Amino acid sequence: MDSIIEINNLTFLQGNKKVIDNLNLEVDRGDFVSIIGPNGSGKSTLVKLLLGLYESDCIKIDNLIVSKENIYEIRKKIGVVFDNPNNQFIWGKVEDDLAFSLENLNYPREEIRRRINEVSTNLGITNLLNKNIKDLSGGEKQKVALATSLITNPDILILDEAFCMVDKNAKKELLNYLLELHNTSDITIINITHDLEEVLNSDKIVVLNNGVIEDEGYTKDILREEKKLKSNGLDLPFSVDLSLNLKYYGLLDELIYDLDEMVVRLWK
Amino acid sequence: MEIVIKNLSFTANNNKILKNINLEIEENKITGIIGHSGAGKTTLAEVICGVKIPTEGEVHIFESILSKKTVIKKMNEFRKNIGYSYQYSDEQFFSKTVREEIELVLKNYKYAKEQIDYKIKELMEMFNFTKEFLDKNPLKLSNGEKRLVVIASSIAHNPKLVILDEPTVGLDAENKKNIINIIKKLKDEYLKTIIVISHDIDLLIKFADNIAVLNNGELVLSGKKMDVFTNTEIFNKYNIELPTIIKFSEIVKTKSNKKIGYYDDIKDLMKAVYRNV
Repeated sequence: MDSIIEINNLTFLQGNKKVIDNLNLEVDRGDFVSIIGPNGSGKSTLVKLLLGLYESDCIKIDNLIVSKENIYEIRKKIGVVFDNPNNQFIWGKVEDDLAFSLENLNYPREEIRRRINEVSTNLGITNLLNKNIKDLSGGEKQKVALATSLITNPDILILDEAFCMVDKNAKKELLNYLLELHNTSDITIINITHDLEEVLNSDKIVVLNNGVIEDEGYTKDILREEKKLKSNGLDLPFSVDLSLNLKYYGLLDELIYDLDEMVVRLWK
Repeated sequence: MEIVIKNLSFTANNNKILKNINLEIEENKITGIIGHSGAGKTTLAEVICGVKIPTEGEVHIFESILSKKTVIKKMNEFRKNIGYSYQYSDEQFFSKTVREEIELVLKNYKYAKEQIDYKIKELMEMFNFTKEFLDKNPLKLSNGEKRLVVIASSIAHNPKLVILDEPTVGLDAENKKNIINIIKKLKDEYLKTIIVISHDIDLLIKFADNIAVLNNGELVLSGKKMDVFTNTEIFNKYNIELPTIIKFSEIVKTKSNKKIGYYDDIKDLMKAVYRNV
């Protein structure tokens, strides 16, 4: 397997507090991984470590150790969307913000224009291109932030509560788009979230709590562990919760995420 | 009905963000405001609490009226009945400690020192804040703690109307439950009227009483929670997702021709499924 992220025996302190505690994790190229866990579990700190905002020789991104010498090369490979998109905009018009990273990388004007058109069409934000970022709603800003992180065609996309302000419909469309991207390219996607409805799209789940990996594995296997998830401060997605209840009462014989399929099985 | 929005429009940069909204907010109830990103939810909240001034129309909050004719010196009178917490907690903090953050609000409303001390004690009880917690830097708190501080400081001056913009965003299950319990307490024990803006309709269906639906700056539907959430025609027309628990009943109706009813609680839904399979 080709690991694009390798974390070996990572411990990270903030003051006297161990925020990450002897963490070991490998993410394969092309995987779609969800990292879940309660507030304060170390998820956002892990993101900052992956981005090299703190140095660590315990982390390798595409075989490069996260260090001062490698940080420029590493960051070219990563697109990131933070929970508060205000923290990552240059400000001005949406179009200008989308162009910014490509301009910094000396892309020709025609290519910049082409990529802006492509990414804004894919994410449904063409109507926002001429708007001023400060006039956008929270959800619109998050969509634009996603566009700015995808426009450079990164090897790794890190989403840190990236859809927390987006309405349900738009979230579904964006997640479907990411799933399509995952299926048609070798982009590695890491989605850090509390919303377990989002994790249904991912291949694997890592459960983090108190800086330690409590559980990891394939999505369907992790979502079966209702008690473990609840003990880690997480709520089950509605479809999984309903499915488990129906299975318990003998009305279903397996876990089904999709509501349409669930109904068909119940009333076949 | 003492909170009324009449013919309210708001325009900024030649863009009509709110269009002729007429809405009555039921007192001592929780009203959820929902709609697509960019529908105008936060702008509506900002106009209701006087952060933005209506371009047309009026907001009636108890005895006070806000319109474009309202003079600046009347604004404090209008705002004293309202507490507002922003989408992003960090943007609401001004002070080095939680205590100072709450004191700032009370000093703005000219509370005397003894009154401030009393209020802080009251909030400590309501929110289970310890003395040590009050000395912490708000920016260094966890997301859940930040959200509690923002709500506490927004109600410190005892407003009758509390507006919470996305109060559970970024919170884990336990912190969400905590915030919802505080919201219910504000309604049941402190008799406040509460407006919650949220796109988390799966959560709103569990605790809101009434719902208002915005689409592209217009109010397209409002009323009792279950009346609104079961109006599938409007939700389909404006391509707004239904709460998942309602969607399930709809799928059952469409695919198996059975009407199992609509519920806001998964246990009641389970019983209905069991009866009908």
